[in-house]
Amino acid sequence: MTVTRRRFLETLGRGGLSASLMGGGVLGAWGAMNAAAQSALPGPLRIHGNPIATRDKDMKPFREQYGVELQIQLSVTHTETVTRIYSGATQQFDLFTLQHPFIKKLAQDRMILPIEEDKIPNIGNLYEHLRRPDWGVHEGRLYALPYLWGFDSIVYNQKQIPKVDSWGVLFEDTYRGRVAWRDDPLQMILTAALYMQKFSNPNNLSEAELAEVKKFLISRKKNIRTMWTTYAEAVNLLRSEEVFALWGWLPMATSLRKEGMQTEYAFPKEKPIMWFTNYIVSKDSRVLPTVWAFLDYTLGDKFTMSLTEDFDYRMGSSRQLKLLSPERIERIGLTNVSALVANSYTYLMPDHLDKYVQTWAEVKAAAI
Amino acid sequence: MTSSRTQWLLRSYGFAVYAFLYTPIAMLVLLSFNDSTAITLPWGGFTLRWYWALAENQSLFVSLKNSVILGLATAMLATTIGCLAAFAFRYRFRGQVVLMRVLLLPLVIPGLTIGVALLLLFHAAGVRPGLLTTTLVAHVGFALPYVFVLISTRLHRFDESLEEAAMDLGADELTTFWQITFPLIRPGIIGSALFAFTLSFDEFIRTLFTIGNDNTLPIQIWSMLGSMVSPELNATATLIVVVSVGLVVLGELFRGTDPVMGAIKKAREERP
Amino acid sequence: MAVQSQEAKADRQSPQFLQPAARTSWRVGVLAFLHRVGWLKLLLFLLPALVLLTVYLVIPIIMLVVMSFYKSTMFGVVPDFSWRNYQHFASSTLFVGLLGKSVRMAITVTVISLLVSYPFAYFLARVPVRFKTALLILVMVPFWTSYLIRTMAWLPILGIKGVVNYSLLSLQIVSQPIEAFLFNEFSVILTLIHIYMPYMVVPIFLSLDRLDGRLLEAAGDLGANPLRAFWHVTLPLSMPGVVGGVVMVFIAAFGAYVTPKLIGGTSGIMFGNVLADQYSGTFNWPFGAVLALIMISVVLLLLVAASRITRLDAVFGVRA
Repeated sequence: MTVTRRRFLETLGRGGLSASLMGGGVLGAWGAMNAAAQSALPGPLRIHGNPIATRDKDMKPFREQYGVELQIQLSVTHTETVTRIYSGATQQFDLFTLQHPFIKKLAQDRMILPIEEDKIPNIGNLYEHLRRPDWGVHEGRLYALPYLWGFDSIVYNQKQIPKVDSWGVLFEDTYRGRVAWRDDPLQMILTAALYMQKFSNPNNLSEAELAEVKKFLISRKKNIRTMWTTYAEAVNLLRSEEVFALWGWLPMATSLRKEGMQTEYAFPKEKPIMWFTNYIVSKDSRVLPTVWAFLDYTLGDKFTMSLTEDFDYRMGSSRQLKLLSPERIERIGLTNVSALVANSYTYLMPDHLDKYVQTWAEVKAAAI
Repeated sequence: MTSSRTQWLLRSYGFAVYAFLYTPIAMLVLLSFNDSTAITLPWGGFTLRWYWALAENQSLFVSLKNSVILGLATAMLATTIGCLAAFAFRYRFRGQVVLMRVLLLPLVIPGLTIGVALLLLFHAAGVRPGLLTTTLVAHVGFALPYVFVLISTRLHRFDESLEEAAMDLGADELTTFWQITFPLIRPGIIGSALFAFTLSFDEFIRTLFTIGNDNTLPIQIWSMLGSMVSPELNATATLIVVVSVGLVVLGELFRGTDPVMGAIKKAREERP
Repeated sequence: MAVQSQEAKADRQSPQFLQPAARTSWRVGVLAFLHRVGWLKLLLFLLPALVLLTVYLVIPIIMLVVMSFYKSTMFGVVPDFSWRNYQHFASSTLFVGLLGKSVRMAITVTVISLLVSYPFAYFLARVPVRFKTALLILVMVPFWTSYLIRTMAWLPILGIKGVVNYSLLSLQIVSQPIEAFLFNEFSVILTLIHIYMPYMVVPIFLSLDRLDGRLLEAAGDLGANPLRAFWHVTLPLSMPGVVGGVVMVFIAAFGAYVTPKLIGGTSGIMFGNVLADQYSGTFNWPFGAVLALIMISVVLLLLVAASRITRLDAVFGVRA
């Protein structure tokens, strides 16, 4: 009798230890089994995605509502995601997050499935300009569900620089040594091209035009303190006042402002760079009903408002306009969505991306 | 034998180097209590919120667990394979020079290219990527040359007379190895295993391309650093340091002695 | 009792732990067989390493060579045999210049690392035996924290408003913060030395640790002072560790790309950065393959040159 009881307690203990090691997986599964009695969605749902789109706190409500297990792997860059999709990742994952320039090619190559709009009740929530975007439509079908969109611009410390309204702050001598670029060929070359304002199609520069941009960038390298690769570096540079302005993303400004720093997000007159991040559906997914339920969830109010609250993001669902206060709407820049879209420059992949990369390599390698 | 002044100099130098090694660590620990979303100074006040955030972040613990398991597996496999190879090199054989160069070659190849090549290879061979399959191969291959170098330096001009004496006294090869050779090279093996674990635990680029659905700690860190505010990473680092140092201290307190080394030491000390 | 014969006495004096375990006949048979067919034993020892290397080394190198002749497009690599990528490398002096700079920086890192690590390894080797493992682990512990956040921790230390500058300003040694501590070659070299310190300390330690105190005693008895004992006895015997450490640190430093990216600013960029950009930004793998092959060739050339000067092979047990 005693032996069995001891053995029972031991097993419980080990189960408890392994549960905590598996991050509550055992207990989670127990809860899931109970919830699953209500709805019968197949699982697990495997996502390879951006950490922002897959935060524990945002995934929990979906998990609890449908009792489906979620397996999430974090993605690092969009090009890495694309590489993996072409190397068999469609069999490992049901959903990916990906930015807009890559969508069309993946659709053409049949690596992703079109969105079944009639299976997503909340699809009507999408902003107008997100319903049938050029970059996301192939053969009349929508292949990407945008959940997040915005533009890249300049994050600056208002205490040190009163107002920024041009990309020039990153290139001119005025704040020499106190600005930073992003270490990214496409974005920085495009930014320089937009600033120079002399190219007909900055998204697709010719070799001669690339050479011009290269010369320009090399000549301005002396004005920057450094280039950043990760979000965390950029935030560090601003917070420690190592730089006063950098090429950056909205959430950087938001999070620093929450700490009492006067960081602002500029709207350059030469046009900021617009992007759209999407969920795409793997061609080999075997849990499609769950996929549509999940996509529906991301267009729902809970998901939308959670990210808006924490990051001031522009989400896929236009319900933001109804649920936010007017001051907040103004702060996020959603007062006139169509004007915003019209005055921004949506970036696309150039035909010769390898030339861009090689140009950037030379910019970085050049001695100042 | 060394004069006490030399002793003191050595110890101070040792301390100074430890200080250098731990300088960024000290800063990390400090920042883990910093009430700021940026992982840098200025100091925004003392807080424990990053530790609470870490406690709630299940995925970080899973990644940590994966990294530990992978590290231990790599250490065991790489040390064993490297040991065997290093032992083989004690005997003269044809092609020894060439083989040595081949064994060291992976050191020279950038991790990035290995990662991509392995990705293509496994994809072409239809092997599903996994933590303890493809990633383990990448890690063991990565650590092997290092282990080989480390054990070789230990085996260099190894005094075989001890082994010969044991065999004269009637021990067979296996016993000789376990009772005589192994204890003498054990620091080399422990050092190599530790090194292999360290290499694997912090490895990022080869892992990125060969891993399947799982995350290891470096991948999660890189991903989090890339897109959000994440000072709980500092809390993670602090926790790793505290737990490791704690284990070391505990290990020291409960240490046993080693019969062979103890006997040899005693014998040496007793010699007139 | 009965008089004990000589052999019986000798048998009994054979240490207990040297008695082989119960002699199972198959074990004796196997060992004897292996003893006769010596080369089989050798092969068995080397087999795991060889298998691993085929997967890990042979195939990637073949892929590199093949891919260096391909063409890259936005979404993949297209077979299209041409020297285009090699030509592109040769066409720009920037790449060659960066290569030279990286070699120079790697040598600097290696030399300073050796000078700093050797006395430290010596200190570790002279520490009482019971503390050795613990102290060795304590050397490794910093490297179990991610090198990404560890490298980023240098910003609050070396930055304009960092600890170092703050101290210098408070002590009024300077009137303006010094920008030159960070985001340049200096910070890259410093950080690389820090990151690769175990690569130098551990092999030298393992080498020195073997040393018998008696050898140094003997040298002393023969009239050498401590410095000469070091130069003529300790240093040569620790050579394997030194060579191992130098090789490992140089190769690692030369191929570094994350560190220069995070902390090199505009002037601390190394060759590895350009290589990495070919893989992370796009599918410029063919050009990346060219760069990788060139990097590998440079290192091999340097190693061959070094092995002519020193007896590198001997370190790894190759009998001349």
